[in-house]
Amino acid sequence: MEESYIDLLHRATEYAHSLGVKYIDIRLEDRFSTNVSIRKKYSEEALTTHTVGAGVRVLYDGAWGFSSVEVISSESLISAVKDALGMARSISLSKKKASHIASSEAYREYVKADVKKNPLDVSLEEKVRMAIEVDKIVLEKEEIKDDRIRYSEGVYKKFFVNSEGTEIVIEGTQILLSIYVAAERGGVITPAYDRISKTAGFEAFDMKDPFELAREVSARAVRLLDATVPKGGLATAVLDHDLLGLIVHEAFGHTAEADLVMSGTVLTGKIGQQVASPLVTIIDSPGPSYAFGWVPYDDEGVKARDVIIVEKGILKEFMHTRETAAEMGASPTGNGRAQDYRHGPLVRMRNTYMAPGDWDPEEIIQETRDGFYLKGGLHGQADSNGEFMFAVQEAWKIENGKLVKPYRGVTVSGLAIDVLRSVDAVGKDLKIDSPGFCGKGQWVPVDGGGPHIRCKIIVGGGMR
Amino acid sequence: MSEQYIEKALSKAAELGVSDIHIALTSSKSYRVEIENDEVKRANTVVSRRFVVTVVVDKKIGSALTSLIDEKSILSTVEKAYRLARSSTPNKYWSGLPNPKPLPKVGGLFDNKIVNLEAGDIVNVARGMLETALAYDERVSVSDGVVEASIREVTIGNNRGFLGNEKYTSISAYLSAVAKEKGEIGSYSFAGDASRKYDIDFDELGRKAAKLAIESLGARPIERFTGTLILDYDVASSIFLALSGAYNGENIWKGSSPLRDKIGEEIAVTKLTIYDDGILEGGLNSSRFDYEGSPRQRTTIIENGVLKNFIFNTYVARILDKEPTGNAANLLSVSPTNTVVGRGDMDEDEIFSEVKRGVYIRRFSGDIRFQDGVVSGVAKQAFYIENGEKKYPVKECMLSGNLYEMLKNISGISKKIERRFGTYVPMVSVENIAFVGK
Repeated sequence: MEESYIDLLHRATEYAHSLGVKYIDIRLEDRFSTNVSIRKKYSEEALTTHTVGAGVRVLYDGAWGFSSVEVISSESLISAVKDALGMARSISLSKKKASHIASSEAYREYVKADVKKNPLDVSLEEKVRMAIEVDKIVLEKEEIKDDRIRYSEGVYKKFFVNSEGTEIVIEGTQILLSIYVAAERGGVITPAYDRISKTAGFEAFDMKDPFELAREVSARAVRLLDATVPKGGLATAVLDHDLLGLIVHEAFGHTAEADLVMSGTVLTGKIGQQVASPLVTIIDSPGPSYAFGWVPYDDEGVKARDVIIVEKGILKEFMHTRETAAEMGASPTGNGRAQDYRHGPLVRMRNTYMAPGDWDPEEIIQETRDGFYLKGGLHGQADSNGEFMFAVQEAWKIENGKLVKPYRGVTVSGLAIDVLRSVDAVGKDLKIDSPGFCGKGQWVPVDGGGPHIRCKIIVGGGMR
Repeated sequence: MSEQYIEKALSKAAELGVSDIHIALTSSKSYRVEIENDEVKRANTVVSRRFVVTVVVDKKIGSALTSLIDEKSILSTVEKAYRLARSSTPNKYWSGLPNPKPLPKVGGLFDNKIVNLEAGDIVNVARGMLETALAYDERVSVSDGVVEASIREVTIGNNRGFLGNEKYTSISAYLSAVAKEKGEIGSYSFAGDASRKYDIDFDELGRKAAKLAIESLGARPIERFTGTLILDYDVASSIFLALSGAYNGENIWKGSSPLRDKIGEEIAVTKLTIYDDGILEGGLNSSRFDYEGSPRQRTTIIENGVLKNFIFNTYVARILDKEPTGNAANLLSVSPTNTVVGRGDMDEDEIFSEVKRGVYIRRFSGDIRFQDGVVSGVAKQAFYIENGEKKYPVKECMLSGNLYEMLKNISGISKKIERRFGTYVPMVSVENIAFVGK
């Protein structure tokens, strides 16, 4: 079947060539996934899916056309090529500025994610049993009034062929277990959330024990019931890898995506300028191989590489697709990602983190006289000017180097650039484990993180 | 064709000995044209098909989905759902699929004008909208936008004898613009609309996006104060959508809604009336039947300030001993249809003229939580108002309030109702909101 998939894609690209199309790429994706959702002892969802489809993209006369189909045959792909070409033609008629793509090498590779226990070899019973056990553990604490346990797996093969001779097959597997709980006492509701999300098979649960995590999450929610809500204001704060990962991705990373840079973000025109403290280096990386946002080749067939967005405080580089690279005179970075075959690629992050420094993480707290220790994010918002607001999972007051008092309902807000400029301590404990799904009209899995750092940030008690 | 597959799947399920089987077969085709950085950038056509089967065995529920629609794949998908159900854990609340009921007639769900659109037509519409925005003022640039037209066919069948088929069309568009002047970047604007009919004023969306972007230039910070909040239609739409979580039967059952025991109580000012209207003619979320095959209907949620009803599917309704309201998002979960707010008695100008000190907001970036009512976030595209006059655009203004207190502090509701994405809302003013500037 695989051989024939690749053959079909080649035949369709050759057909496009015969119509005078200079550039075409076709992505075909064959994906199996399973979702199990348990809430308060019963199943809310048990769904298994199998989808196969292809997306055809042509660049014709400086304009893009795209067409996707879910019937895979020689005829359907040829008709998709015609549709895509028709779409491109209708745009090219009055385009002011032609679209171009930056050159990229032609690659031929078959890449497999590092998976030890293929989830398709694990019985459905075992997956359901795990989710039910996690649910049972979190409900052992009587204060936990609501929960949602979600197990999800995706096993996929992606085939990519373009008219420049690139031919890539990627076999990937993603696994996810998320635990959401809400504790309640006397009208106070405290949520807590955590997840194991990896590019890996069932062995992800050997690396991190889901039952241990369940105990941690429910204990966290219950502990927060006794916490108070802090007074707001600009404060010194020590952030953990998870909250830092969220800020680096949502409030800073998006402003370094080349398509947004061109429409105007806080980083537009600032390459070479100091945008953060000299202690700050921020990287968007295709790996590590276990990261949820693992991307060996992007959805344009470009070999993905590290993008050092900020090095020692200086803005160095933006993240690109082949098109944005051409427009900005840069080289492609492998950040062209699409949710699936029904969408064309956009500039997207992969695994975005702050590089480690030389502080001992404990030392950062010990050396803080008056501030907050903030861990994990829940949800929030960020804008293209870097203005953000996030709900924090866990917060403590730091006094004279000691954690003296927990808080709940804490938010952080401000401008990402102000926060990054204020960083005065960066730990050596790099942790890339802040996975999630990022939405930009399309959803893609991403990861990130960093070490413990200290900065100034607006701490609020908005979430009563 | 669809009916045939449904028949095959039903008989396969009968062979396997399931107590319930539900099938949804959907197919859609859409054209989507994307605008990016002042250009019509991409044109996409997407053809998609889904066969989703849910079976129940001993109260154990399993579902399977496939995009491969042929007899072999459909039968194997039914088997997969069956195996998953067998492996699952019983849901003690499950009490079976609904029996078929007569369906309402709903007009305006299908427009041949949309069916007859070709890719080039959508490109022209997008281009026109973009050019209107750019021609409005040279300081304006358009960051992104979309025009999308789709046709969708849904067939639902189950082993209780329900078989329904319906076709819908829809068209939607939005544009986001930003104005730049002397190094200042204004706040991003948003203008959007969606309809089942080909009746969107695309030029007006272009003009609106540009106008809002320009008006946000020269924003100034404000000091901390408590005053009146005027919610423009877009923000009112977000607020009422968030409120729909509170009357969603699922959240009533699960106890996460503060409205759970407030039926018959006055929870809002008397001039507020809200419907969930699934049979609104031409409504974006209107249809004859919901996912489980129950008839759609119009449900009064709040009438003259008094909470009247919640919305349900069959599953949740039976648990709470209520009647389903045609709001099945799927067999287990509930979702609103069209959120329709009753018109008020004020002109827009009157709403402004009554404000001593306040902020008028046209975009909101933050949290609106129905669980505890927390409304907290940043006012975007906002204006400071003093003595009825729009004074200047404001920046970095945080606002905080409580959704349920806001319902009781509504001071003005406009006569005019505007359509947003599945909501039909007035402009609303609310007293006693805390604004925190810098």
